[in-house]
Amino acid sequence: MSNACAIVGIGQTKYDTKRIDVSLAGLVREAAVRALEDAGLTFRDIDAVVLGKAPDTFEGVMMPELYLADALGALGKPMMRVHTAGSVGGSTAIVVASLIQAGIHERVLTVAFEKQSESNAMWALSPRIPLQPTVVFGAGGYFAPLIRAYIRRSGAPENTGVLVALKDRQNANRNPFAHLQMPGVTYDDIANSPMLWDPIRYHETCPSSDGAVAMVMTTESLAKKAPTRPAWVHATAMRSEPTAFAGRDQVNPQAGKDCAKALYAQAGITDPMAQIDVAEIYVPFSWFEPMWLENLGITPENEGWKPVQEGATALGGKLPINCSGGVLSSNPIGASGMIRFAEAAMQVRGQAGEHQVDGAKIALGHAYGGGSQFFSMWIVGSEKP
Amino acid sequence: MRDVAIVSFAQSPSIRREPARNDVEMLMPVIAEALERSKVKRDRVGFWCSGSTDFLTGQPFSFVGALDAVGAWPPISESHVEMDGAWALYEAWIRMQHENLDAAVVYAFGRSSLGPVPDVMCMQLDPYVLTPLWPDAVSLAALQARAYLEASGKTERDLAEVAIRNRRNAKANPNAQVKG
Amino acid sequence: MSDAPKEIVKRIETPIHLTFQFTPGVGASRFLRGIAEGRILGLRCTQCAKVYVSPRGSCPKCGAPTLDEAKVTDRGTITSFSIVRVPSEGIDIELPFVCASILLDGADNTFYHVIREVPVEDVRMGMRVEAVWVPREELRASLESIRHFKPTGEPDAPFDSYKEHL
Repeated sequence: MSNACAIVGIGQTKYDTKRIDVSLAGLVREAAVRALEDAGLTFRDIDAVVLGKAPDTFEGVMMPELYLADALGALGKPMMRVHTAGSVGGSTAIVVASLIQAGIHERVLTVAFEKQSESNAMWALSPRIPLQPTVVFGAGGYFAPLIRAYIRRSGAPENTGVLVALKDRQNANRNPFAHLQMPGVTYDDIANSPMLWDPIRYHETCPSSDGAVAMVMTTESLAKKAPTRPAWVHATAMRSEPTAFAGRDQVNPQAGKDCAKALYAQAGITDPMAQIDVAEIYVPFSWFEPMWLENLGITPENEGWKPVQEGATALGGKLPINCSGGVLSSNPIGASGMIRFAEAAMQVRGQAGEHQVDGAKIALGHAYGGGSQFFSMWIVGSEKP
Repeated sequence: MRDVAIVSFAQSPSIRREPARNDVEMLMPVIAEALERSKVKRDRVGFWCSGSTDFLTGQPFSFVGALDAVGAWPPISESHVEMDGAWALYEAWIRMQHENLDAAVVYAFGRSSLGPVPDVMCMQLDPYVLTPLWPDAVSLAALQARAYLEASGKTERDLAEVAIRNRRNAKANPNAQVKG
Repeated sequence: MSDAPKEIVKRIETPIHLTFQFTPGVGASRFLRGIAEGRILGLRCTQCAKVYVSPRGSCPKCGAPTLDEAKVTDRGTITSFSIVRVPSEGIDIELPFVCASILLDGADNTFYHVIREVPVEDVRMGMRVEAVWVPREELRASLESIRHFKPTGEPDAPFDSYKEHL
């Protein structure tokens, strides 16, 4: 038994380095109220609230859903809190889809957020644990060696990362919510930016952002009453594997491959490059676009860089990726996965404005987290499956 | 609703302080025992879900390391709630209602000995106006108890009897920490 | 009371100080005691027999304990690396430096450490390296007892010999 589930409301905050104009409660409420307005609903109409975010240490508030229940209209209602590292925004949306598909609730509000400016994210990611040398330094230091290994293995042209970054920065200029706006950005701006964690350049990395995203998800009968076109959940999948074990392929992890396979099987997708109209995938460093194209089975192994070089992943290309500017342009960590899921839904609702892919009917939302080990994905469509 | 049965259960004894083992070493035998008792083979488990909170251990992503106790290979369908493990059970139950899923494993862990718990719990409050006052968890519980006594007309003795009953019940529970 | 509009409070500082204890665990304790004696100890998975260095007490793939000691040398191969050119809080290593993923001879998993005594441009995947320890009397139960790794001068390991460890 699985009921249909629709996304009928989406709200995002403006993403920025420091949203000092709002408190934590103000930030999540900004997204939640926008999602409710989009759905033509109020807090009163909501049956349950599900909150997703990455580690509590990012803001220094333990189990913040307790303090935020009031601001999210959740008093006296069921509330849950999901945390699956960087993939959490996606996992949270999947929990909400489950609540609808299982027939437990009819209208659920979900919010994912991060307000990294209220604490020290670098410290939160790399705490100084006794007995261990701190040589990794946050996400960049951890992922740079994987990127180097990918380049070696695939023989990808060295400017592939620059091309991805240029595309995503140009896309971000079309998205009013995107954190980094670089009007008139050029190839040289990216290529000449300083190396931080060689081979990762400054403009090939994601920023630290404050921000929140919210969605209202409902049953089929309520979706039909929604004021705007819903997006329909066609498939969801999650897969995890351990961080480090003997012989683990961290560049092209099995969990991601298995997750995509299960997802496509559910959605009836046999040729993802042809059948998916637009994708929002979690790319915190430019090189992860070609890496995930392979992991997602969209291209054969070692060929993920080819569509990038051909411009196939740009707006107007065969499979536009991260039309919103992606994680590279806005990265409130705990929300980044749900932003991917929400942007995918916006595309099939025809709601993406300047970064809309014309006539998008099937979209992929993708998130990953930890040491490339937690994956969550969904396929949404303009028609009920 | 689809009926879901709990077919096995395992726990480590609650003790004041685990002196040697880390989270993974504590969890491994417990998960293995629960699986063993269930007679459900590992590859039949379609979903795993855990509950824990980073602020108890003082380390971000503590659930990530705990996954090393599971043997998550080939990769598993898995989720985590930053809440009490009862909610992990709830998430698994939800999925069993609509997914083609016959067996799930739920686990939870917590280590209260690592940090100053009454102060740590203070981090759950409004971070702008309450946490900076550092009201500890015991004092807040006392405020609640006082409010309850005033509202209900019960006495301190009534509350004390709850404690007596629980300590007495614990005598029959080999996993309980405080008994008497 | 004045009706004049008040400026909104946009930022307050609320420092949090909480002290936590850290329990390395039984497996990691054995490893760290080895380090304090100047040797690197691997632990073998009771199921798949793979050898873990810097063990956490379990083989993550099997979910089984790692119990038996296995001989691991303090020499190994760089499987991949990053040249760190950006400062980070709490790090007092001179920039730029190389942070590498190292596969020690006798081990089946990699771990991260710093590479020195070689220009950063000359570091390669496959480069053979060895541990540089602190003086004997300064050895303690911490990975910081290994100051860094440096090239051994041996020929590079072929890509095929470590490609399963990327």
